[in-house]
Amino acid sequence: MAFLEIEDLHVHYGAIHALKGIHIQVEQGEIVTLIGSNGAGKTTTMNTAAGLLKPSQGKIIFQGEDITRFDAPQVVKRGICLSPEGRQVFPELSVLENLTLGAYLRPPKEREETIAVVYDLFPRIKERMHQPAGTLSGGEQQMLAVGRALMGKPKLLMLDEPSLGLAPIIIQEIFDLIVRINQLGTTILLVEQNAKMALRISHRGYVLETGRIVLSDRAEALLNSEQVRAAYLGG
Amino acid sequence: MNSIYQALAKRQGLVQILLLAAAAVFPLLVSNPYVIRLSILSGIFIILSLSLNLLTGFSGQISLGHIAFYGIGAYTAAILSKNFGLNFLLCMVAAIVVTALFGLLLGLPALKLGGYYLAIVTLGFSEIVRLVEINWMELTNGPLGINGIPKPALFGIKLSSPRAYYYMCLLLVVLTIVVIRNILESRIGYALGTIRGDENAAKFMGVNIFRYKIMAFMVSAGIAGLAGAFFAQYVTFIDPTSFASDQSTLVLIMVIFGGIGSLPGSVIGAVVLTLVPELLRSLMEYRMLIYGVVLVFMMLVRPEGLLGKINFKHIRQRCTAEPPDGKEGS
Repeated sequence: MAFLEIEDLHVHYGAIHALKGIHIQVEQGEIVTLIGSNGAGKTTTMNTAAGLLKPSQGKIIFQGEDITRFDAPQVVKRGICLSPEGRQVFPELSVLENLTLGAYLRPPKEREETIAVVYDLFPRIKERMHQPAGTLSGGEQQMLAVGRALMGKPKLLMLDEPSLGLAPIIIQEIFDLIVRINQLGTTILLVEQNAKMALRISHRGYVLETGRIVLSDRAEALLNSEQVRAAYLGG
Repeated sequence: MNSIYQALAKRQGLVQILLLAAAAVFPLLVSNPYVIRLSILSGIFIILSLSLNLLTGFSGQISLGHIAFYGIGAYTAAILSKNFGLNFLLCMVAAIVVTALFGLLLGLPALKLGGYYLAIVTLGFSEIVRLVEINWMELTNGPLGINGIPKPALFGIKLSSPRAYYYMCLLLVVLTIVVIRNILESRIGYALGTIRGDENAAKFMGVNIFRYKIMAFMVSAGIAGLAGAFFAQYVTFIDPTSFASDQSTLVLIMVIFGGIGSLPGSVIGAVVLTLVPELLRSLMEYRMLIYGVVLVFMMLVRPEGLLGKINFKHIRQRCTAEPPDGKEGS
């Protein structure tokens, strides 16, 4: 049994059939990427796994436990944290308060230690810890969003479009950090439009197209696949 | 302006003690009953603004019907003390419990609704409460109101001098501030902040939205009910006109004027907007015009309100964190 197992998942938004029976497996210690164009169902997959959406059919099994019907706080408690698309940091709260909130369900004793780990990964947000999060740059807010998700000490970290709207040099920095977080022992499920960069740091990848998985393979193989090249990597 | 805020933030404890001392000495220096009455009225509006700010400012649940809770509290206290001879302290406790239950009731639709839709529901709720107050003759005596509400007394001593009322009101104001501040500085306060900020993001943090929204409604309603109970026992006569929806708007204006999400702002907003129409009384019918101009001017110059977006805690942390640059500031 895999670390995270998504089996035959169907999700509806009203009459719209957004996910049409997808299968995804993530093994412990991996970085797995979902790529696909707009509307393929990447974010829907993430949000369903995080407990925000309820599937109409199918199962989500995490470490052998069926979490399909869990709501978001229960999922967080099991060790799955999501850094959502578009960052969604709390702009009026300070950086430190945002991080503290990430550890909302953790014992307060651990907090100092986890904050130290996060500051070590992201020294730039440490400098700004008492500033309102809304005053940070886009890249810093993304780092804060990832740091906040790390505060929950996740076993599985889900990152939804961490490169969205960021300058190329910052994107590189974020991807380097994702690799470091993975090396520290966190399994990562990544959703990206920036397919080339995401596949370069991943072990395996899935290609989603209008709610179905059309391809899954080792990341290298996907990078070299004609089909993926033509559709997602710009020739 | 920034340096003023910094100075205030650094000396927060001192400022609070001085303000409290001034409020405590005030009725000993001023004996004019009209001034004392205005101070008590300001105090009641401070409590109402603070409770609405907890709900709307800190938790992001817009309420246009806050005065309904105030009314329910007032009627609960009036009926219990007049018809059942209950002691005034028990009346206040009962008013808190009853209004908190109504808060629970109004909190349930808020779980599904937000923004404008919730505003409409709260407005509807307050109209229903007002209509019940007018039409349920047996309980509320309808438009005639309830008069001769017993004045508070403790161990046979009447607490009905203006000064006694003033100190009682001051005590309730301080109590409200302490309760709300403790809530906001705890985990609950953070949870409420995330609900206001972004409900989905709050869920990713593992915040139980259901529990905290209901709690915000119950606590906020309970505090407004307490203000209502005090009001009933202070004026000894209540009728539905005191709890019409224009009063809800007035409290909301006080919160916005002082600054959404600022406790000191709510206190200042309530005091200023209670006093301005009184100070302008000599201008007769022009006074409400000037009141309106003051509000419009305020919104043009400082749309976030007097102290909106000024977080004294952050300012203080930045002040104390900056000098020993590079060292741990926490």
